[in-house]
Formats: sequence, C-alpha cells, structure tokens
Amino acid sequence: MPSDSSASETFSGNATFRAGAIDGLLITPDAPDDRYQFFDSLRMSILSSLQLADPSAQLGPAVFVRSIRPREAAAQFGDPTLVYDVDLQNPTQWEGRLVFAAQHGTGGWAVPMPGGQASQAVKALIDGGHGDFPFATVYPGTRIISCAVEGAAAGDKTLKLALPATSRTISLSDLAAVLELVRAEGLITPNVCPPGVWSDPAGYVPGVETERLLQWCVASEMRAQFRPILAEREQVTAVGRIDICLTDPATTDPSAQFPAVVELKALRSKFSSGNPVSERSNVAAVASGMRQAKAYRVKKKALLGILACFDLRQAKDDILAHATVQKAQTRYYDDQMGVTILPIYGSPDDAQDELATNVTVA
Amino acid sequence: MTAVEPFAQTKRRVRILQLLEASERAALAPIDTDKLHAFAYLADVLSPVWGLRPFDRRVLKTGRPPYYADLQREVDSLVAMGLLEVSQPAYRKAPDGSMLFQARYALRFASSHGRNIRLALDADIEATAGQSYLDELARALASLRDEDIAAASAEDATYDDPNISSGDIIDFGEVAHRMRTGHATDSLDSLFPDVRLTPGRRLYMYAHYLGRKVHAVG
Repeated sequence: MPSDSSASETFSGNATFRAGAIDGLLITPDAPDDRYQFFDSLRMSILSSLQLADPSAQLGPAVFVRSIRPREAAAQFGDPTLVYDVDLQNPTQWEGRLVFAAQHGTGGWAVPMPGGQASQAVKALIDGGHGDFPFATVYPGTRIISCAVEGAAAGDKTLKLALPATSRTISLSDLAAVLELVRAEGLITPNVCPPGVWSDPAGYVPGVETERLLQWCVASEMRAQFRPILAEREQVTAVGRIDICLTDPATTDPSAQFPAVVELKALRSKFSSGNPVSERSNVAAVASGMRQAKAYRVKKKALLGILACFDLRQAKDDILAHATVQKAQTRYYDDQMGVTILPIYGSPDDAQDELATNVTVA
Repeated sequence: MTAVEPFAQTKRRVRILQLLEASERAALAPIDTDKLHAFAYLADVLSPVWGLRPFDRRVLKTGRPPYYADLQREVDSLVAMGLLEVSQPAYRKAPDGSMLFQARYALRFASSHGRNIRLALDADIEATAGQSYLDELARALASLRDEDIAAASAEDATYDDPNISSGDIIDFGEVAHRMRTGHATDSLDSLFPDVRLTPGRRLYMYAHYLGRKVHAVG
C-alpha cells in the first residue's frame, strides 16, 4: 500500500481516534486461548455492569455459558430474551438467569434459571448437550466469578476470578497483594487451579503449559484490579521477553506510560516429564528473574519492577535466603523493585498445613 | 442471463449467509436492515486488515449509512427460500422524505438446506477463513453500543471522506479511497508501538473509534 504520511498523522494526532483506539484495546484481552479470553471479557463486562447496580439490591447468581450460536442454544431452554451491552446495562438484565453468551462477553440470549438455582442450571446444561462449553457462574453478592474452563461435564475444577469493587493504584505493595490474591483464590490447590497448571499434582509434576497459564492468571487479575490498564503478556524487547508489561494507554506523561513490569518464575521439584529439577536450577531461576525484572524495568523506563516466583516445589525451602539469590538482590535491586514467593500446593492437605502452621509468606 | 451471473449470485448468497452466521455468533441477530448493511460495508472496507479482498468493490455514497441494493435483493431471495427468517417488518421515513423498508433478519435454524450449506462451508478452507474474519468483526461491532452500530459505518474514514460527495460511487479498488481506512488502521501502530496489535485488535480499536465518532458528531 503506498505511503501517505500526512494521512497517518491526521489520525494519530486526532483525540477521538486515540480515545476510540484505547477503548478497543482495553476490551481485547491478551489470553492463551478463546476460553480464557471469554472469561476475561465477561469479567470486565460484569465489573462495569455491577458499577451501575443499586447498592442495596440483592442480586442473585447468573450462569453465563459460552455458545457458538447463543440464540439457537437458548431456544432449547425456553423463550429467550436478548441480553446486550452487558457492560453498559444494570445487572437486572442478567441476574438470576442462564445466559447463552457470545464470545465477546457483552451479549447473548437469556432464559430464566432452570430450577431457580445455578446448580440446576448446570445440570440442565449437561442434560441439554451443552456440558462441554465453558461457563461462568457470577455471584454478585460475593463478587466472585467461578469459571469452568472445560465445561460442566468436566467435573468440579473451577477457576475463581474476583470482581473488585474499586480499582487499586499501582505500588509495590499493591502488586504483591494482587499476586497473593491470585495465589490464594485461584492457584493454591489443584481444586481451584486452571486445568493444565498441574499434570500430576499429588506427585508435584507441573503441566507443559504452566508458565503460560500463570501468566494469564496474573495478567487477568491485574487488568481487573488496576483498571483501566493493559497487562500485556510476553512483550518482546531488544533485551528479552517481558512476562507481563503493565501499560497505561491513556496517559500523556511518557514517564508514566509503563507503571510496572512483572517477571514470573515457576519453581518446581519436577519437570513436566516427571524428571527431577535441581535446587541449583531453581536458585538460578530466581537470580536470573531478578536480573530480568530489573533489566526490563530499565529498558521500558517502567516505574516499578517485581519478580513473582510461583513455588510449585514439594519442599518449599526459603530460596530467598540462598547466597546466590541474596547476591543477585544486592546487585540488581533498589527500592523500586520487589520480589514475592507464592507457594502453590499439589494437595489440599499441604495447603492446609500452611494455613494451620501460619507460615509467613514472603 | 450469462453463465457468470448465477455463480456471482450464489457467491453473494453465501456471503449473506456468512454475514448472518457471524451475526448469530455475536448475538447481533436478528439483525436489522441498517446494521446488516453497515456490517457488510465495514467487512468490505476493513478486509485488508485480515489480508482479504473486499467482497463488493463499489458502494454508492448517500446521505445515510451504506446500503447495498444487490445484497438486499438476495436477502429477500434467501427469505423466500426459507434459509432466513424475517421479523418486525416496517416502513420508516428517511430524512429526505422517502420511505425505507426495515426488518430484522436471522438464520432459519429449522432449515435442513441451511444446515447442509453450513456443513459445506465449514469444510471449505476459503470459506472458513472468511467466516473467521466476519466473526471477529461482528464481535468488535457487538462490543459497541447497540444503537451506534449502524451509524458507525457512516463514520468510516473512507465513507466519510469529505472529498467524496453524496451520490458518488466509492470504489474500494481505487487506491486513494482505500487509503483512508487503511491509513487509519495503520496509524494504530504509531499510537501503541510497544503493544502487539493483532488483526482482531485492530478491528476492535477501529470500531471503537467509529463508535466515539458517532457521538463526537452527534
């Protein structure tokens, strides 16, 4: 296509063009696959919708099931009504209903909740041949979305997403708090993990895509907690690939464009093949993670950098006390850098042990 | 009628079924006349974003959102064939005083012919690629305010080009006209040089620019 720089400048200097582009960018989440993209989009739509709710209203749960053809699917369960612009409409449009939702999460077709309960709706989905489709149960009262990534028929493995009422400001302590929220609510045991984080949880064998899923869990939570923000996974720079780069698309202050970079590491006892991982490898991963987090912060001129180590090891030694890690911390870190260790357990018993012994989380 | 015409007619009918399929998937169907034509127009003018050629290469610029007479004729044929269902037929008075026929269109799921056509399209690589594009564009449009979707097409950089008057033909094959929408979508890179802008993201970003523009001018 021939170039015409003046025409390009006309658009890039246009405030409406920029504002619209930001709107579009903020609602197109960067996700590993279309199921996670659906949950992310739905979460952001529900968050906006809840802000329009009457604070005194008692809102019932709703079930949103992703459908290829929402109108056709909903018609199997009754006389459906159109649900549209979820992000712009009061929750009364969708609460207490079974919604056959489109991939974008802002619309679909709804029927009254079968049996009046979410559990009955899930049973009806399975009976109606929709058991394989991802679905989310929205609990407005507790501000939680419970997501069944592999559908109702796959059993009870669900992923919990928070619906924070307010947005946080980005600081090292808030970054650490959000990471802890991801761990405690969405990863701590295999029962709440997205499928694929573990391949054999009891044997502490992670899955083949563990890092990719952890990235999404963190990026998605940061999008919801620090909204409006872009949380881009695997952004490529000349010095490497940033796991998560937080970008404020609306700022006009170049020094505030990148509030933070987040580097993620998965510490493990075993590879996904089941072969053992040496302690030295985990120590090296933490040390290199500190170097990467700092280098990416410098490269992006980001305000903050944090290293999040998801600890999937069976024996969770204090890796930050290791001499190599301490040396790296001294060499690379300043007061704008943080590190947090996030223990994840392969069994509920091990997680209970953490709670019962009140282990302090770094 | 020449031998080429039935083929062109079939292609257009397939295109309409694909537009309606994408509308169903995005929960836009039953889709009203204005939205359907807006969707068809934006699918043409934004097709380079997806590496595709526009289906229709020309549209008449009028004082209202884009409208394809050929598309409407074939929509009516598909209704008559039982492949589409029509609801809420009505006449609406245009600003120039003329009467416009309006209705809502959707796939008729009960049609066994429709199901067979869908199976054939799902097995065709070229049709599948085109459907993916239409699905993504429909999702981007569905993320706009419902009442803004039809008006957004009239705000497209090419359709709204001040150098093209009402009554003129917009030819997507002419470089100068194609350039304005193309320049807009290309300009997104300079706004966000560090962000990975997939074709899908470009569609959402451009659609929301049009949505903002509807209110800026309104």
